[in-house]
Amino acid sequence: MLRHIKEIAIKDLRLEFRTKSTLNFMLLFALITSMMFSISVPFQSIQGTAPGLLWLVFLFVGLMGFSRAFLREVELGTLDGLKSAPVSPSDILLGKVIYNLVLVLIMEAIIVPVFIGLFDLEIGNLPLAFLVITTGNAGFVVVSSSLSTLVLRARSRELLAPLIMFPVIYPVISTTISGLRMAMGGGVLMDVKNEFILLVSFIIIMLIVSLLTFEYALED
Amino acid sequence: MEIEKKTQGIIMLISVAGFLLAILCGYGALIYLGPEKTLGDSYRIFFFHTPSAIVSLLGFTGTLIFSVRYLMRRDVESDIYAVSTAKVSLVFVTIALIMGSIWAKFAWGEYWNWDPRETAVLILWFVYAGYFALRSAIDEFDARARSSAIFAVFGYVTVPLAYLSTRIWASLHPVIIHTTGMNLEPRMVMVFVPMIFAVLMIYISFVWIDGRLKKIEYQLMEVVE
Repeated sequence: MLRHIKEIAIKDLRLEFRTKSTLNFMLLFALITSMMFSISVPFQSIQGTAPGLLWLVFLFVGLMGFSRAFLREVELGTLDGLKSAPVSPSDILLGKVIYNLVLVLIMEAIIVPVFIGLFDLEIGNLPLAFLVITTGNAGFVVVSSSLSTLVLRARSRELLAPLIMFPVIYPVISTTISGLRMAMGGGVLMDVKNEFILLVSFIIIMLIVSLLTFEYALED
Repeated sequence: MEIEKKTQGIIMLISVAGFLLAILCGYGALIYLGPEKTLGDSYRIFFFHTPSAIVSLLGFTGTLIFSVRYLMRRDVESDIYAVSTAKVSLVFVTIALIMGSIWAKFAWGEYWNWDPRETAVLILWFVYAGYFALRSAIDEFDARARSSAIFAVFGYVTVPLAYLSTRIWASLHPVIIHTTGMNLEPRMVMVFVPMIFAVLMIYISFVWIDGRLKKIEYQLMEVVE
């Protein structure tokens, strides 16, 4: 089972790094949104608004990027091949989740420094900020990977995807922002204990729901 | 057909009884009870706002049950009732949101306060609005029913969150129902509890009427095809 998950994640990563199209698009989109935030927020209020803005950049980017994992299979006509492969649906889902997680980690490594430079931010506890963003993104990835399969057959799915994803991941959005705010203010791990409990339990619940329903989501 | 007729009779009875009970409780809430010490007359909206909120949350639980049943059985009926329960619950939760914000203006000073429960219920509203958006975007029957059923399972997470929100975060909403009893005067309980049942009965009859309409539409479509 672990081998299957790894195979699927590696297949997708190999495919992605051949063209880097999704990664490049996500990166460019993140940079352009950061620029737009940078010119639209007055300099004085940046320290207060930065956590929200940084997290918004990741949300926008994730929304564009994460659903690509399944959309690409549809566009290339390989979804049927994937379904008939001798791997269980949950392996496919977990493989895609890991693939998206790798993408998001790469994004974080590039975007966070750029964002800090652009806004001239002072971050009290940088490792903790990274940890909070990564945990938040993990929750986002789990939900968006499985929900993106629901819109595969829908009309105007690019519009529909945010509509159904944002409300479901709202607990992640609000919790991550409050955790990020504390990390930026120089908080330590104990300060964001409650946020972590909420995030981790959300991820576990959503992972269970995803694994239970994914078999149905992939059907014809 | 015989069973259908029987249920129809029962539902008729429930709806009439529900409306009568609602009128009686409405009288109780608006006239029988006196003004409250701190809130004055504005608290009377509580007897309409809270029951519709409670019933809508129960109704979304119905959506979850029918959605899971659809995924297991793949029958048209489950899909129809999943939609009907979601539709009527969405109406009820909208009523609760509007009434709540009117009351908030009087009690807390502003229409919208980003109180944890307000936020959680608004998110829940968006989830089920998204549910209908998702349904309207898929044409094929099986794919639509399946996708929306799965989404209903995901979206249900917001329902316990809306209920527990006042207990998890500091909220302006009071906790009314405890494990030990209710935080209300006995006279108010006498109006409040029957009102919940009245709204629930109205809810059930709405769902049944809507579900039956959709069933007839479905049968008609099958005949046409």
